[in-house]
Amino acid sequence: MSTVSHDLGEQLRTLITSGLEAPYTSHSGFDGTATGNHYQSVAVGAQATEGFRGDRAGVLDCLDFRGRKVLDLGSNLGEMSRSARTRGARLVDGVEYDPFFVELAQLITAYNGQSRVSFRQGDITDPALYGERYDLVMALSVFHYVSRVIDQLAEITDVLIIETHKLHGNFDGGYLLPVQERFPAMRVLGQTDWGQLGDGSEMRLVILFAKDRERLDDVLGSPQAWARSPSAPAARRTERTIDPALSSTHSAFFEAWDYATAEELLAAVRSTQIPVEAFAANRNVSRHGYSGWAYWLLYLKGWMHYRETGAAGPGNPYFDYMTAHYVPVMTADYVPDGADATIGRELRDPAVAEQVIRRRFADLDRFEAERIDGVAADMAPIRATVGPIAPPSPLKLVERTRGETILARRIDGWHRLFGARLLGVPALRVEIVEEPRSLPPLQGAVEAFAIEEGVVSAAGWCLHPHTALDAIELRRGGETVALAIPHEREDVALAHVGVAHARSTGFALEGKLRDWADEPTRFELLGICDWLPVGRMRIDFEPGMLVTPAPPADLLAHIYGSGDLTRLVLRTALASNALLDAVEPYRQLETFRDAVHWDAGCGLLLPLAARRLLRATLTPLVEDPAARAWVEDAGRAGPPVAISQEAPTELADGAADLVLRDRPLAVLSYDQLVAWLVELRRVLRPGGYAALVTGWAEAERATMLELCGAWLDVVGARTAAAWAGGHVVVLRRP
Amino acid sequence: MSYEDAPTLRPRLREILAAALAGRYGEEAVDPGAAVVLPSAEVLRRIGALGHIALPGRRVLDLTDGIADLARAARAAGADLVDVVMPDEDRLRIARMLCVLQDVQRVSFFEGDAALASTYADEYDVILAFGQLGCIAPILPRIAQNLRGVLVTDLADGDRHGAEALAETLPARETLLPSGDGSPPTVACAADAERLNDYLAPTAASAA
Repeated sequence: MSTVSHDLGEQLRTLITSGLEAPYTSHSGFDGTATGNHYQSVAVGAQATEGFRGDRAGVLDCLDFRGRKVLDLGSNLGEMSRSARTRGARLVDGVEYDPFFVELAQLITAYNGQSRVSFRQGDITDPALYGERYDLVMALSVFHYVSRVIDQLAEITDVLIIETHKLHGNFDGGYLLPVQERFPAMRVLGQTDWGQLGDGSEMRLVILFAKDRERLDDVLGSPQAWARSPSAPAARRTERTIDPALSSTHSAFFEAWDYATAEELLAAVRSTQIPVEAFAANRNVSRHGYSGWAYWLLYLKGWMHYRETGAAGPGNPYFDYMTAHYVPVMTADYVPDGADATIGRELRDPAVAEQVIRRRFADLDRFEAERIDGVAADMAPIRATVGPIAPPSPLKLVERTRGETILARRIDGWHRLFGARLLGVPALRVEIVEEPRSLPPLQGAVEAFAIEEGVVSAAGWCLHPHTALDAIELRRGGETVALAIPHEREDVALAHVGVAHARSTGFALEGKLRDWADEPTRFELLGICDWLPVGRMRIDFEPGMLVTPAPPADLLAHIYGSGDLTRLVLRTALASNALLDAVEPYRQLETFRDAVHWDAGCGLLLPLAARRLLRATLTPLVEDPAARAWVEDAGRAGPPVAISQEAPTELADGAADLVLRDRPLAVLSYDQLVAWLVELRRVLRPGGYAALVTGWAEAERATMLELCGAWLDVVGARTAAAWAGGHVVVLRRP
Repeated sequence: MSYEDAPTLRPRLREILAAALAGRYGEEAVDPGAAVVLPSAEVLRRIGALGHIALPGRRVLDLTDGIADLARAARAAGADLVDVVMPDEDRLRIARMLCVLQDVQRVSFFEGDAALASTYADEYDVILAFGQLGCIAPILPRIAQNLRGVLVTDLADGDRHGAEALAETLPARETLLPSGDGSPPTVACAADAERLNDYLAPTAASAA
């Protein structure tokens, strides 16, 4: 590249970056709806920038754009237009009302050197806009506006792609009804993220509409995106500078050792005798860890010893404490406050432990020797993790120039921050990492769970398909209830041969809940890797769920393969909520009248589902006669109906508007599955929904979805609501 | 805030472009207020020639030297889309940024060489090849395959080979502008007279 072109490119990139960072909120002229700047995640050259929305590549991959002329309504920063062109569109026109976003879209396109993608300012609610024909029109997250011009759109295109706004039980009335009058053929391509706000459970759908089935099939490229998990926005990272003296992290120490100067404090520490063995028994050090004062006293004693003798290994009180006491404390069941869950593993090796300790002392040496009076620019920033919901007792850091408070969940860099505060370093760089809101599901099981007098305990295992977990955290809302290093599970390793990290997946967590009230509560088990959550599994607790009238253990064992009622009820509660959560965005649960639980086993799900299906009659379909007798005696729902895998049910055509099936379809043979889908289609009335569970494996799931799609519309495949049994699929009868 | 109050990056873009253009063409050739190179007589003449072509709704390929003044003019005259091929990456980047500054749509840029047959893979209605006859003459038969309408060029004195190749490949010809003031004549050429007439603006067509 020539120098001129390079310089121009750099100036253009700087201009784009300044535009993306501009504090600007656009307000729609139509209804005042606010759209923040940098809504779309965009690629500026090779650099991906993170916007409010995640990547929607998965659903675009479902479409065959090749050779087509495309109109992108509400094109924002132009990323979807450019993506369509990259996928082979002949020409793409984007229309966006906000002139600033149009400018940015044009600049990014020019910088990226993309051709045949144009943007213009225009009002997409104006019928006069629609004069030119297009092969395909995209209206992503602008349905509120384009719903007024469906007739005009039908004049200029045969194919319309809609991305919904956040679904809230309005799939039928909000989207299908208004569009299908002019574009009767419909296929849901996949679900997309709602954006950076919220807890990640919200969702949108991308729906392909066409004038007829032939045109719809013509535009469909590769299979639907369901088999892939929607890509979530990555963790956002920004850098700030903080004043160490104002942080709350070491308050316990500096309050206990309150001296006017660092020299006085160090002199006091020097004169204090600390027998390691006796001191290690101090509860302050064993239970409070970094949040207490005692740990830091040991750390300072160790540093002083190191300065006098040069020894950071055996004989150094800090080394002796860490290797003899700290590591054993970091058991699988417990990580002291603030401690790095992975460090215990490293410290088991004395040689590694000495290196770690020398590194920690080096900061103190440098801070003391250099008397830094500004920002230590060449020193790596400490890291603060912030969550979508602030924890009840956050670690407070204070931004240096503006005085803004950063409420961190975790800090990686406690020792550097301690040294900076002790020795008067006025500023430290900190990398703020925002936890991702949308997380993929963890595979696993909660095998024991109890809440007694506000203390919750949970045990089981959880596995991320691709990532070894450093720790497993139990959380309620923003509150970290317990955190532990995974312990070894031989049985899980044997069941997942080929997944190297499957062995370290066990957890046994216990923690006290703040302000506990005996009410329905959702807990989350988070898999933690490199300080950030990488996957989640839910525990849905309802008072009384564990003392429900129990079927005989031998019947449970016969039906479910396990007589462990606690485990089964927890699993069923999760399943019930996962299935209903999956349906709820499409249709409000109180509108269902005739719900069927297919293959209801001993009916454990019925009372749980009934709490949410307030106006529906629940009919259990039970194959096993003994189980059917028990369900009937228990009187938990309508009279059970007998089913068998081989014959149709006794249900009338269109008897149900909702079918739930919580036992994985993967257990059925191909023939059984086909027969069941035929029967399901018969039993469901038009517009009725079914929520089912596929298996875990992506390939198996894709096959299952394809087969389901041959009989009914696949409208949802919620990975976010996945549970121990697999992924939930939502089908709708056209 | 109304959209009229939305921020804009254009002033800074204008500054960047004005500096780049001044560096390339000399400060005297640039209008810094508009960040455009003041058009030469030759460019104005070529833009004038476009007035003789029926451009609305046409797909245009522009091979002409410069920073796509002609392409933007063709688009302003109603061309459905204009693709510009140029070999010089500096000019390419400047031309792209100019289109942003001037809010021009459907003018696209491709780094390429007019002398290569691969440049002509797509079909076009009009090809603008001012100053390029010499380099495209050897591949005119290939160009003609995907040319639905006319090729517009000037006939430089002494380019006998180019003129002969043009006459052989695209025999129907209309002179859009006669030679004058040191400029060669500008012609529109097509495979046949019917096609030529379809692509001439009404006044030029009636003269033909």
